[in-house]
Amino acid sequence: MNAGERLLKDYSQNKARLAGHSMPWLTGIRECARESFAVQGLPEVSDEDWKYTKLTQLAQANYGFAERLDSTFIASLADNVLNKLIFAAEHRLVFVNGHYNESLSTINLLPEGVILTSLAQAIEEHAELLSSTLGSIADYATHPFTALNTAMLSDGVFLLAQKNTKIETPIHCLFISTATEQSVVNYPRLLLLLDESAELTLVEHYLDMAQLKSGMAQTLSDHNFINHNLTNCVTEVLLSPHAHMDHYKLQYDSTDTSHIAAMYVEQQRASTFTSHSYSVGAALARNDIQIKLVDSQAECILNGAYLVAGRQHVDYHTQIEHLAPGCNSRQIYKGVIHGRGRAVFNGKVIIHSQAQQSSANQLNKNLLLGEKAEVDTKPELQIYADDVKCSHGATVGQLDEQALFYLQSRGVCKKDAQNWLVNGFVSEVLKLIDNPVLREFIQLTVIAHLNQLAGGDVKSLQELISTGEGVMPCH
Amino acid sequence: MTTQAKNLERFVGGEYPHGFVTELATDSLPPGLSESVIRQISAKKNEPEFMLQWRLQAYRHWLTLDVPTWSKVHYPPINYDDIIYYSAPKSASSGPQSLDDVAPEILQTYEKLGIPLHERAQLAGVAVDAVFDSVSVATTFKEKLADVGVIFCSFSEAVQKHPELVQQYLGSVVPFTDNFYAALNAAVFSDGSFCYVPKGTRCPMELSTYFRINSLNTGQFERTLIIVEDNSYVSYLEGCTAPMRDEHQLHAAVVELIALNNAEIKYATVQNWYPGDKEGKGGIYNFVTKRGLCQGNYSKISWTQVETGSAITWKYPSVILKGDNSIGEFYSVALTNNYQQADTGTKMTHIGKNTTSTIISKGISAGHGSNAYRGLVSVGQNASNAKNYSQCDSLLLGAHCSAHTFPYIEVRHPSAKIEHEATTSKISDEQLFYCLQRGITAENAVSMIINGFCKDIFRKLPMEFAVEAQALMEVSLEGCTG
Repeated sequence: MNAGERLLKDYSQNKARLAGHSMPWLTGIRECARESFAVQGLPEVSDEDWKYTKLTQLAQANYGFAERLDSTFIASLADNVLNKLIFAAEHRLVFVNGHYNESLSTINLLPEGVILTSLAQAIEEHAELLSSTLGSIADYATHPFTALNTAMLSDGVFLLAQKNTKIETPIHCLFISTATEQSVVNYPRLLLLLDESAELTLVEHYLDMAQLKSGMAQTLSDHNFINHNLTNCVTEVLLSPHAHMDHYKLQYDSTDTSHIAAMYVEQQRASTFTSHSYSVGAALARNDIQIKLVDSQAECILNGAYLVAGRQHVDYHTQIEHLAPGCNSRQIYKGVIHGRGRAVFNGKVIIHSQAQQSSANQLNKNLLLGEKAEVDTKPELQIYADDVKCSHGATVGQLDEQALFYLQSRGVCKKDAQNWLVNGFVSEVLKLIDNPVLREFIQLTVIAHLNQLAGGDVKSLQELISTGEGVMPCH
Repeated sequence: MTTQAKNLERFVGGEYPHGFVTELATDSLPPGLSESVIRQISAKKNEPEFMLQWRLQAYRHWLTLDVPTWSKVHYPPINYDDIIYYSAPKSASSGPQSLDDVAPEILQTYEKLGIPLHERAQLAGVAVDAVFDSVSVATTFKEKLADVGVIFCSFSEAVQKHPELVQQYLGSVVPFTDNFYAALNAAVFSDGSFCYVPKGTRCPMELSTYFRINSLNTGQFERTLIIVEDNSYVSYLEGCTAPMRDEHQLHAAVVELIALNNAEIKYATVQNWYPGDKEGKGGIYNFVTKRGLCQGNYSKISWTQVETGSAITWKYPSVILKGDNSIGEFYSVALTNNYQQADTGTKMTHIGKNTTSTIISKGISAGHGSNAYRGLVSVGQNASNAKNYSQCDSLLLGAHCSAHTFPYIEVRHPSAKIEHEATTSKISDEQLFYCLQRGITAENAVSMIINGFCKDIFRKLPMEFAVEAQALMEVSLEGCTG
């Protein structure tokens, strides 16, 4: 039995336990997706889209069904995780190993016309709405993991914002994964529908218990397993005319898991979509972002940063299709690669013949710091219209020797100087975050992570100034 | 002995049982490809045994390969059994007998390009010997080259006169296992050019297949091998700036360049094969494998190409930067008009230390043309301080054309500095307006802007070629404005 078949076995054994298993419309979707996955199989390096990403670890693991955890353990999460988050969200949906947990979640008063529930609940309560929308944007025919997710989907987030509704504060969707006895797969699914002129901000946040050191040591010692879990998530977004969405994806999974994510966005006339994606964790992280600009004047902005070290592997595949005139797309992705890390970037922009007056920019910059690190980048343009302005750029390089020298000549030790320059490099993306609360939160976690990668014990400029050390030699 | 082994024995060891006496009466072999066809090609060319064995190996390997489909070009499948793989240089009687028989459009083009009258006949495929004797011209050049020790001759001649050089270097850069068309070429190639520049020699003139008259009519599978020894230099020009009258459909050539220590090779191509008519019927399929090996330290290989012809152009002149401090360059202008398709680019493989590569690619699409840049820059694990700069710009003329960019960048060394940038746009209305306002016609304005767009590449060409290349752009773009 190969890895693909093993994953399918999981489906046949557990389909009766999935949400809405008795609903024919959902079973129909699942069966079609299962069929499609069986045909596609797990991707191999001979597939152009997976040329640089091998799924060896994932293919070797023997996956089981992610069970619900007992309530005392869940209760401990409130203290150990939620209260430690410096980012207090008004609306928070918490998932533990893929299952929605009501006791940990808080959903405050939402404006009229907004539905925000777990997907499992929505399957029961809004079957009619879901049957016409679920899976309509996420095309699984060309992506085996989207097919797998569609076959196995059971829980996640359902959001519907009706015409002119605005949600002021960010919606925080927190996916916590814990140590498990057996390797498991989580299949979160998010379906986000924004009607005309609706506006909101949503944070998709993946967190592993192992990433939180303090306070969890005791609980974790009982569960010291060496597994290779997989998170296979799919996000579907439909933006009606003039709708606006800010999407944040924070991936801090444990470095012994695989994280395979796909996001599909359909944008109608004059809608705007902004994505901020930060990939820090996971042994293998793959992010597919596919945007379709189906009507005129739509705009999408994709920003992201990936920070890898050790033997981590991160892979971003973005695809923006300009299908109508006068649309705009901008992308900027930055990578910092330490150790034996490997980063893959493939940005594809397709301008169809009817999409005149399109403008598309794309930039991918990589800082290669590890001796054995590797970067494979491929910014791709396919243009079938003539009245367009498109550009792309890609760089791979190191820190500027002159800048390093400048800092050192002013008494900053080399390690700090390097770190400041790396922080500065990433800050270019961080400062594009509009929401001040989120900017601070992401900045702190990202910078802390960078410092940790640099070997810890690195002081920031602010720290040096606030402790009165000023800018002085530190070692 | 099993049946299979017996068959093998028969093919490898035995004489071709049917003989080829009758074939000798005609100049070409029947269509189709088999081991016996290859034996006959080799025998006709009186090749040494190692050549035959190499061809046969290539053929057996080719049989195991599938036609590559990854490129951005579309064409009906080619039936490889319909192709005539050997045809001796076309006899005087098969071509047009005089310039009066040549299509008037082609003659008009020659006029515009300013090609001397006697050359026009030759380019159009009119039996040249009847018109004028150019052999003496070629011979003078050969003598001058021989004086400094440069060997420049047809591939067949090299196989006869310098088999040791051919054996040493043939297939060392493009092995027959490289790809489908390289394998096919290795099995059946009929002729091509050979050039050897000994140590410490600066080749006294620009070498060109154009001077080597006998190669003008060589078939669709040609092979070029250029070896430049330590501290030597050669500049080589391929092709000519006027459309070739050629009815061949498939053109699968292989070019191998080898530069030893401190050697430099400049290779320039101006390709203007028949591009097919306005509806996209006919035209050459140009599937070429070109690769240079910077084997020695401080060696340099530079490719310059101006691609305006062929129905389909599919080629990636590449450089393997094996020697330390070696340099690779690729300068390209590719123009597609009507229904032409081009999928071209380069591969820069950085292996040695302190290697540098530069890629400048300009694509122009007009009409229904499709133009793709596909390139790979790879930096190996030991290639410290590798540097690459790539720039690929596309210009779009007309609403039905397309332009694509597929740059692959693979970096495995932390000291590498790689920069890639690409832009795609059309000629802006402001630019056009500015020109029109000053009394320049729309057609002249477009041609001026395009020449400016391609200036960086034309500068790399030898002077007279640069002038012709500019004229060629104008001719190729005729009728696509307004």
